[in-house]
Parts: sequence; C-alpha cells; structure tokens
Amino acid sequence: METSEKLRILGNAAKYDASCSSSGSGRAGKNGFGNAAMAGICHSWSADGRCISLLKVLMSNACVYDCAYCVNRRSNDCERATFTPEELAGLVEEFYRRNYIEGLFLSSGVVGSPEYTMELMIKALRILREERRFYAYIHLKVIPGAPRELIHEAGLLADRLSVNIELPSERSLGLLAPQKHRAGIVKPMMRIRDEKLQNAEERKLFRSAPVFAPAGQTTQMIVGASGESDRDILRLSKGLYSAFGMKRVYFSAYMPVVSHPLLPSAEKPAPLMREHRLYQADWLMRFYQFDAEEIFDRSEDGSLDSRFDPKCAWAIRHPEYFPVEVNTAPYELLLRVPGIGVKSARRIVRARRYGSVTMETLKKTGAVMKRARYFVTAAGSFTGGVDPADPRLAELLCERAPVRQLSLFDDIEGRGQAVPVGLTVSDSTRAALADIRRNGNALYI
Amino acid sequence: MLYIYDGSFDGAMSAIFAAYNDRSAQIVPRDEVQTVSLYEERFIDSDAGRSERLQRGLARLARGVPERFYRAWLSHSEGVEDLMLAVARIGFESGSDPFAQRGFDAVCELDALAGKVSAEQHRMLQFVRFVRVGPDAFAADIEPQYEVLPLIGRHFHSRFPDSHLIIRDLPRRMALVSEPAGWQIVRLGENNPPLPDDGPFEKMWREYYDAIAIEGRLNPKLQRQNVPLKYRRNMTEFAAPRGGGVAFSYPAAEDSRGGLPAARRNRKK
Ligand code: SF4
Repeated sequence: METSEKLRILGNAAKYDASCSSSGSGRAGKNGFGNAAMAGICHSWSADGRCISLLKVLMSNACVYDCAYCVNRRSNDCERATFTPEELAGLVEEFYRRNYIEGLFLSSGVVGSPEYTMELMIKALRILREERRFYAYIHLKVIPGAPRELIHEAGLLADRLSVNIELPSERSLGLLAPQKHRAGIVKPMMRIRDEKLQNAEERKLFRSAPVFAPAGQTTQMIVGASGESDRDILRLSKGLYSAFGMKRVYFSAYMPVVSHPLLPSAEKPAPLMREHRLYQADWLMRFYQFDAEEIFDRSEDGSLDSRFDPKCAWAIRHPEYFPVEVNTAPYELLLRVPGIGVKSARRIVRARRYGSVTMETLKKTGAVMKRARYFVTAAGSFTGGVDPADPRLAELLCERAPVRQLSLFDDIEGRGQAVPVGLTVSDSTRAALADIRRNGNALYI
Repeated sequence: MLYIYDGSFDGAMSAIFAAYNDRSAQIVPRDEVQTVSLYEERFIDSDAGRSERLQRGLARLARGVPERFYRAWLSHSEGVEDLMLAVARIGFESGSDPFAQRGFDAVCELDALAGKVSAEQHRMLQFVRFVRVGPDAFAADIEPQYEVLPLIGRHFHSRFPDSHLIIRDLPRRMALVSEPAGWQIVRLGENNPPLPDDGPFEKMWREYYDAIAIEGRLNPKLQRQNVPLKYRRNMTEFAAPRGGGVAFSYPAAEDSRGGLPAARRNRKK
C-alpha cells in the first residue's frame, strides 16, 4: 500500500482524538533540526474549525480489541493499514521541514499485543530522534497494558505521554471496553508519574541525564457514553490532576458510532455543549482558583447548567459577593467576575496603581463589559441597571444561541471532539471543502 | 516642526530624541513626505548612539518597552512615530511603565499596533509553508500586512539550523535568508521566479488536511477567523497546486537591508 493511502486511512482514524496541544517542552537538540516551542503553534485550522498543530496519526488501525465506542474495533468493517516505522519517520520529517506541522501525535490500535504495538511506535520514534535528529514535539499514546521497560523507553523519546482513561468509571469500562482493565490503564499512569519523579532526582545529580517526558502526561475520557454526572467527571479529573500530576485532562463528547445496547442511541447528537461546559469548569479549577465543590454548590443533580458558563452560573447563584468595586477588590475576587479574565484582572490591578479605574479604563483592560457590567462598580458607578440578586439577571446572561463549535476559549487548545462515526470523507464534504478553498482564493484571482 | 527620518528604526528613535521637547512635533519617514508641506521641516540623521540611549531609557521604565516600540513601529502605520513620541513622554514624565497607563489613548493605540504586529508575527510562524528547492534548501512566500520578517528570523533559524531557508516577502521585495551560520534580511531584485512544484508531499498534506475535517461539522466561519482568507494564497493546503517548471534558484544573500537596529542583525560570528 502507498504511503499516501496509509496516511489517508490512519489520519482519518485518528482525527477524533482530542489533544493537539503542543506546548510546554522547550526541547532543542544539537546537530539536528526542530524544536518544541514553549508556546505551541497551531499551523492550520481544518474546515470544521479545529486547530491542526501535530500530525495526528495512528501507527496502525488493525486493532485486535473490540471497544464498543471505537471505529477501529475488531468487529467493525473498515479499511485497515499499518505504517512501517521508516515510512512514518520520513513522513514526519518531510511535513515538519515544510512547516506544515509542529510535531507528531502518535497513537495506535492494538496490533497483535500491547508490547508489539509499543515496540513498533518506539522504533519509529527512535528513527526520528536518533537517525534523523528530529527534536520537535512528540506526543505518544501509551497502549494500556504496556510493560514498564517500554514506558521507560517511550518517555525518553517522547515529550509527552498519555494513557487514555477512556471512561469515567470502572463499571463503564468493564461494560464498554472489556479488554482494557482499570489496572492496565492506571499502572502505566503511575509508572509515568514515578519515572518522572525519579528522573527529576537524577537530573539534580547529573544535569546531563536524559529527560523523561518533559511535557508530562495527559489523559482523555469520553463524556456521554456512560451515565456519570458532570460532578463525578470533574471530581475524577481533579483526582487525576493531583494523583498523577496530569498536565491536562481532555474530555471528548461521545458521538454514537453504531447502535449498541449499552450506548446512547445513534440519533442522539454528541453532547458538545456538555463537553464545552466541562472544559470551562476544568479551566476554572485550574486557573481561577475554583474548587470542584464550589462549581456545583446548590446544584441538585451534579450537572453543569448548559445555559451559562460555569463562572456566570456561580455568580448568579452568589449575588452576595456582587457588585465588586474594581478599584479595591482583591485580585482573587476580580477573577470571579464574569467577563473578567486573568489578563484583564492583572491589567486592572496594574492600572489602579496609576489612578482610579473607571468604566472606560475597565473596557480598555479587555474585560467583556456585556457580562461584567452587571457585577462591578467602577469608582462607585454602576451601569448594570439590574441588581445582582435580581432574577431577571439570569435571563439577561443566558446564552441563547447555543455554541455549536467549541470556540469560546482561545486558550484551550485541543478541545476534545467526539468519537468516531463513518470515517470516509463524503462527496458532499469534499465539494464543500473545494468550495471553501476556491472562495479562499477568489479574492486574489 | 516636521521631523523627517530615513525610514529606519534607529532613525525613528533619533527623531523622537530630537523632537522630545518640541510640543508641536510631527515625525515622518522620508518616503511619506508629501511634496508640499505646511510645516517647517528638519531632516534627522539616523544616530545609533542616540537611538540606543533612548532605548535604554525606555527599558529602565519597564521591561520590554523598547521591544514594544519596535513592534509598533514595524506596522509602519501612519502616525506611529507621533504615538511613539507621545508614549515616550508619558513614560518619562511619570517615571514608570507607560504601557500600564491605559487611561491615555496614545498608550492604548500604540499598544494595539504592537499587538497587531505581534499577532501577525505569530501567524507567520504558523502559516509559512516551505517548498523544497534543494537537498537542504527550502523556500516560502508570504504577503503579510506588516513588516514581520525581522521578527520571525530567530524562530526559523533555530528551528531549522541545518538548512538553507528563504522566506520572501514579495510585495515588500525583502527576504529572510537563514543559513547554518545565521540569518539576515536581504533586499530582493526585480526578478523573483515563482516557487516550483513540490512533489508528493504537498499532495499528501492536502489530502490529510481534507481527511481530518469532521463530517457534518464544517464551520468555515470559525476557520476564517483563524486562517484569514488573505493568507491562504500562500498556504499549501488552500492554494491550487503550483504549475512548476520555472527555474528557482536559491539566491545568495547579498546586500543586507540597511536601517535595522544593530541588535537585529543576527549573523553569528
Ligand atoms: S479504543 Fe483502541 S483498543 Fe479499543 S478498539 Fe479502538 S483502537 Fe482498539
């Protein structure tokens, strides 16, 4: 099979994977090429609006497992392909040198056994790093059940490792991915954490010791395929951050593949809004000093309100804190104001050293006044018109048009997308793509 | 008084230096001088020493201030020099970071310009698409709105230190040339052949690009926000396949472009 043919199949098969973030490594090497820029670079955006940063492919989709939610499962009838390590390495170098991509995101179905699959992937990485002297970013998915020696090797070659947790509970895992066991997933995670700690110690003693997975580990779970609540999911995600030092936990809205007695029906749309709200909540926990329990306080069923972003929802539930006077409020409280982000909160704190902050100044800090005005006073003046405790406020802030694409947060790279359906590009999609391309050029012809 | 400078950054800084105490000063680069001026004119020679003194003074106000001036200046937008002068005054008169004083319009405007240039710089890191023109030589064309070549040299040089690169800004007739020894900005001549065809990898990239869009979720609007149409002409995944056939030769770096501040000539010793 031609390389281009394989790329089509294996790129297609990998496209639903969530992570595309490529930042936070800063690796660079001697006598070679490529570096992992500290701020990840997205090189393009596909027609569905998602950023393309890494060449995201599977080593192979000839999987021997049979996970219910996955298009590559053994019982599914689809085209199969497997890269040779040389072939993949060549492709990555050629793409990278043309500045198409920022690096490689390599995952795989289980070919033969987890060991054999890992060996194949490691070989490709070895060729890239050692023969071709490629120092750009590589994210490797560790196959559940991979033995520890291979995890060690993988960590020395890749910038980031990840093991998918797949589903939010052991019960769901048993039902939907019977060949993957909790232990097969959690053990590699622990292994990666421990290796990283040990490596940090070694590097204190020998500064030349090789780095183990400098960009840390991440994981991904599918949302909406099983019955867990948002609160369950966020608690688990919080646990993953603290227990394994995860850099990110990705959520991926489940999109029905086939009818399966245990899965949501194929007519049900992927819970994209839910995924979006989960990311926002996760973001609040990581950067806005929110606690998981706060996000759900006064909530009955442990689910996030789809009408508001979780920060807005919290503010509406807690009128006692508002309005906040921007000239005197502590930084932490500014962060709680809907419409004020980390950047504008910092700017406000800086600006008030030079004088009183007015509504005008507030606007210039980049605060989104549409939301913020209900919750702040600036030098005593209030322009919200509605009291923070007024029930009409909820109506004013409600996001009426549901967000179709998950694009609200620039900072969230690689927002998860759904899991597979039919994987070939239909003629209508092709036509639409061609159209976009044509229109893209029309301006210049 | 109208202060005219040679069009270089050092020149602009020298002019700000000279005009600092003149409350009715206007500063323009030579190319933009209209034939009939209502003002008294004075030509300011570019003076690297004065430029550096001013930059050091600005740097003392807060880190990154001269850098932001430079970025804003690269927009070459009309009146940017006057904004720089105004913001320098705000900084020196208060003795602190001018960019924190967002109550002044000039500060916000200059900062916004610097922001736009930085945004385009980042876009160029994303959108430059090389074509292989030799065993270790790659070429690309760009048509940015601002003069961003000087801002992207370091990135591409450190990313591909083993190759010869040329990135041509055709409308400005400038190019970034990066070689193992270092990088610099050169002027281009009249004759710049189009880039050649790049064989199977271009095709594979296009196919991959099309294949990974998720069915039923096409969102051209969002895509357009992230990849504005004006950049697509030079991007492999959007542009029509090249004709090829025209001989493309990788140019030798000739005359370095005059007028860039000394620190930006990055040729390694
Ligand atoms: S999820 Fe992975 S292991 Fe399970 S069927 Fe799909 S490719 Fe195979």
